[in-house]
Amino acid sequence: MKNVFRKTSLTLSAVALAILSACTVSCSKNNNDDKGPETSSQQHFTIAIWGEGEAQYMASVPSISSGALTFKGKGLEAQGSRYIWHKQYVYLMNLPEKKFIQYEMTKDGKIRQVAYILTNGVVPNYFQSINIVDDNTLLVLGAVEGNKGKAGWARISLPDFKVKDRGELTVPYDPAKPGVEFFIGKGFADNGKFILGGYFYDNAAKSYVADGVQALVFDYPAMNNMKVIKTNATAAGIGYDYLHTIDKDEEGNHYFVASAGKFWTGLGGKSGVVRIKKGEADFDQNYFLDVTTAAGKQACLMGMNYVGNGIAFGTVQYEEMMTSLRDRYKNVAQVVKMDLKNKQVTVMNTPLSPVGMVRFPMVFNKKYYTGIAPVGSDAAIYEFDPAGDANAFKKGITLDGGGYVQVQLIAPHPAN
Amino acid sequence: MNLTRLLLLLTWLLTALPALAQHPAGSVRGEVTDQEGQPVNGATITLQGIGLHTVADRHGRFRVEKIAPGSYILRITAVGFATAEQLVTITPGLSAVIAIRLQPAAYEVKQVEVAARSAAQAVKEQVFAADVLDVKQLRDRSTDMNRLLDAMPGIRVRESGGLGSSFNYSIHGLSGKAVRFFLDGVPMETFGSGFSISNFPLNMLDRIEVYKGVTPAWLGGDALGGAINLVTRKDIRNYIDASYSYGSYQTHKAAVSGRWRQQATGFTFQAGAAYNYSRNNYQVWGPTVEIADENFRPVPGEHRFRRFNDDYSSLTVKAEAGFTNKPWADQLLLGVNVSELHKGIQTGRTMAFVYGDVRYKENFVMPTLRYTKQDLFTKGLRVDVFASMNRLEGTTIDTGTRKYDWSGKVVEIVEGELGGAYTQRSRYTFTDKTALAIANASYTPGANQTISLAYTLNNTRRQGKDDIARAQWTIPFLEPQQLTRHISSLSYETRLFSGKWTNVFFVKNFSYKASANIYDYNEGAQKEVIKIRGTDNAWGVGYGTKIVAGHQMLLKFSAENTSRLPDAAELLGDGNTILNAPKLKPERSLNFNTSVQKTFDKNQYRLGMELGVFYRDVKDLIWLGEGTLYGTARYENISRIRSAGAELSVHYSNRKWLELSANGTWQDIRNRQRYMSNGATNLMYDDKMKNMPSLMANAEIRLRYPDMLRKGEHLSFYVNTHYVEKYYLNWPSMAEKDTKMAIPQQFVQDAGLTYSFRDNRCSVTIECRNLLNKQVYDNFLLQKPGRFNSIQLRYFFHNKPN
Repeated sequence: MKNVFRKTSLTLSAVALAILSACTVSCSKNNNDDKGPETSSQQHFTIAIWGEGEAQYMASVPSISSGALTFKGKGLEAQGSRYIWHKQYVYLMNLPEKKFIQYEMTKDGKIRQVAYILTNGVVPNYFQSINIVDDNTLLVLGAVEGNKGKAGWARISLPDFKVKDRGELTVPYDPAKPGVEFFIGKGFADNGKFILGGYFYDNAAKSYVADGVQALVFDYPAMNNMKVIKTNATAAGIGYDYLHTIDKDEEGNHYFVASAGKFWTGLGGKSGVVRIKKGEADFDQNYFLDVTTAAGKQACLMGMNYVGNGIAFGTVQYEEMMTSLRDRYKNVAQVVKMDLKNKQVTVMNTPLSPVGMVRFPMVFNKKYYTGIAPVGSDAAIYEFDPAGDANAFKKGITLDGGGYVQVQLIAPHPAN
Repeated sequence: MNLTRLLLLLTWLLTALPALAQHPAGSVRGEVTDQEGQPVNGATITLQGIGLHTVADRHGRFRVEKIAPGSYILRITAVGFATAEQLVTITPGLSAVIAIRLQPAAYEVKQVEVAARSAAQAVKEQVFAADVLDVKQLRDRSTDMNRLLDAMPGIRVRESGGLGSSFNYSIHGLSGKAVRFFLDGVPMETFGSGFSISNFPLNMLDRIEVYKGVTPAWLGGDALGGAINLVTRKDIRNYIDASYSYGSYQTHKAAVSGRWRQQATGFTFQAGAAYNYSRNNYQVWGPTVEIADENFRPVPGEHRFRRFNDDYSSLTVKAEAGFTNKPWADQLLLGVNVSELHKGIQTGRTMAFVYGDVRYKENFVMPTLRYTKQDLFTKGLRVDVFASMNRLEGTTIDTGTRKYDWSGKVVEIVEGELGGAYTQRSRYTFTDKTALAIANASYTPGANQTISLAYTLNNTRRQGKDDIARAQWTIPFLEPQQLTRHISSLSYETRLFSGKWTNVFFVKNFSYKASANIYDYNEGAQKEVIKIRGTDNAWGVGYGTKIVAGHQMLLKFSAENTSRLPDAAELLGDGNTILNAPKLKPERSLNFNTSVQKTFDKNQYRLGMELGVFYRDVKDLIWLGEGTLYGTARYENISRIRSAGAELSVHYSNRKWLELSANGTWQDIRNRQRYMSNGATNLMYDDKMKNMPSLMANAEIRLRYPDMLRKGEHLSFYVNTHYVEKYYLNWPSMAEKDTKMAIPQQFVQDAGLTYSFRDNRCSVTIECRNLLNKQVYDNFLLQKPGRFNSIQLRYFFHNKPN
């Protein structure tokens, strides 16, 4: 009886497990989708978008002037909260995995992950402000909420992508006003100084604080000896951290976006562009390009990209059309052309959209490109010609999923 | 014709049919008991030759009507009993009355088990899509409840870690709060995590009833996806059942339950207590479990680290005292449920968030009162009334100043670890005070119909405080919030053709009133606390039917068009990582289930099969959204989801020593939202549901060697396997497959060996879960424990019934 029991048990167990294993193997067979033929093109571009929910995607296309891009089965998932590109690399801060990732945009149009940095402990919190300070160095900054005058910095060597040094830096803090906090923005290095934008917010009063326009100047590369510089051109925060809010012209002069919107780092005054001349460590007190007055509707300048010959393009968000900051993802923004030399502003006749939230538009071959995705309408990359008038733009590649797609970054791959 | 009209027509037809079917005949009625006079629930009574048959109710009573005059052999069968036959003579216009006492089957060793199998079978044979986990057969195991239920067809249980970790149930693709838990019919959603299903000791339970999709009205809940009802022991004997197990990761589990009843007065005391502790220091490795070199690049190679802030301890006590089986009350019991819980919080939304000092503690107390009575005032009227007040207090302690990596090294000095991008030290405490009242009444005027009414009132008030700071994520929780819900139902059951055809119709009403806070923009540049008040009301209707089609074959169909209201955790948040979402809309669903059950019996072999098909059309699905950049998440509505699928389960037993069971579930859940809320075309329309598997399968072999060394000493062995297909965190159609964030395929095996002696009163069990020490994930980048070995000792003592 015992033998029968044992033999039968073993036989049945073996048969059952074999059947289960066979089922599992057959069930688990991978469905490797056939990839289409590789594209061959002289030029490729990477487009990163923020889609439904928290999902973000990044894909390359052979042209941004025509065609269509769908992320259905194409591109890669990227959980970026901060983007920047430099040379053939795209860098993004992936918060869910706490990684700062380096992707290479290769000549054949592919995007491949090269390396990543574990961000814990590099700077407080996460890489909030990411800045290319020279061809070989990326400077990141981070601070906690309630920083009490302390933030962190780290330099990352490029392209080998290593944290080469890091430290702490001082930001404004008045113990007599503990609720008022400085939020770090973008900055640049020039002539032995690092000049950092940002804004003040009063946590107690729940409002921005803007005493003129202020920036912080540090000795570079030591990142110490903090000084506050100021211009009274307007009352605004400058260099907002996740938008393209800083650029320089052919002469090396630096321009900051000064956002004076009551919903965006200011008090509802005039937004525009302020300047720090090449090699200097103070604002050009004589320079302010007033965008709000020119654009009307309480326009708040959100970002800008310098194209050339004194011309820059940017985006404005009309606060007259907003009831709260949440509305920034509605059709409340437009593209503007700014003549930085002659201080002239042209509102481009683009459709209203949340274009103010595009984080990293592109300048390529002396044209400006950004993503316009009006709520409930088609989304596309638009090309803007600095030589033309308010209608000198054209719709380029369309983006599948219009109405919810927010372009995060447009970047060129190196040409073959 | 819409569903409501169709149901009304069916109601009329089916209530009229009994009257139309009347004709002169005789009948037979009686009672089936075991040797000790206890009723045998679920016994099948068949009149040989004419095929008429019925099933005994929970009192062992049965009745077969409209029998042509003559003599018949009455055949009575019940699982665990020897088949009995009795001659009965039917006289026109008269009812023959018989009493049948069944003898235990030769191979059964415990009548307690027999009774439980009968109850379990009765649940399976309801009109609803139901399954039963017969806990009595599993008490020797130390396996977690979640693992046991995860092995059932159509159910997926996802855990974020080891013992005491958060978990999420999904039935036929509907998950989260769409699956409701009940303890003896009392909703458990306000019991806190100390008294959750995963903590409940097996030796306090008789069985677990699982209702998929359509749920019985008497449960009184708005369980849209399904309901899981824990049924506590109602042993007829006085008993003590105690067990202790020790396992990997310093895991200790002790449980004791018992009952004592004084025969003379009917005074009854029954209680159960459980203590669980684990360090949960299992190894993790792979993606995001990394340490940095001096350049903050990951150190190459695979590094395995032990979790170091994941310890868990909980103590739960459930006690009731009062009177039972008295002429004026079947039960009048005053009770108290108490729990206390402490645990470390090791990770955030992924293992990239490593917390070394964050703690959570919770305590819960709930006095209860229950009264039940069969035949109150008039024969056939049954009432069941329950009332409780509970207080749940949970505190999340995030006062640490150190940030750790997986090696336990401090990598940064911080002000609190939680909160993702915006950290701040906090010590947040929420206090929920919940009043719960349930009243069920049913009236059975004859053998063929029952009408039932059920009502549930649930009021939760939440208050929060933070002694240290106002971390951004706690801000909306600091102001008072409140939720009141009313659920009412009316159902009618009719049994036709001697119980061969049963129909149930029901209508439910749901309403709620909520007052909650959100932290959002309100005509300003910065977020602020906004008070949101909402009320809503919804109706649901449903129908279920079953047909006994020949011997041992059952066909079932049920349909429901119903709603589910957001519950406290969904609306008010959990005070930890789930934010509040006061603008949630009720979830609505049209559910269909159909199944066929067939059993083949031959000699001592039994083969049972069940094939079920389901369909759900869900509007405003309440879904836990993806985590925000700040490490928190909140529930949201997905406007339309359609789910369809099938499940197959097979069970084979050679009654003496072998049992084989296997099941598989395939589900196709799709996003049917054509347009986004802003009017844009939804690119994910018709896409498969994100973060949800399509294919799951389980199988188990159980071998039993009775009287191995001597009479009363038995050896049993089981091995099982569990398979879940790989699935994607985000919408499957988006991006290239090999770049997508995925939850890998799961294929794990467990095994256990039990030696029981002294006629099953003592047992020793050794078990091994995840035999091959595989890397297992239920959630994206949240690794579950590897191989887990344990040994359990159990002692069961009982005396004769009184």
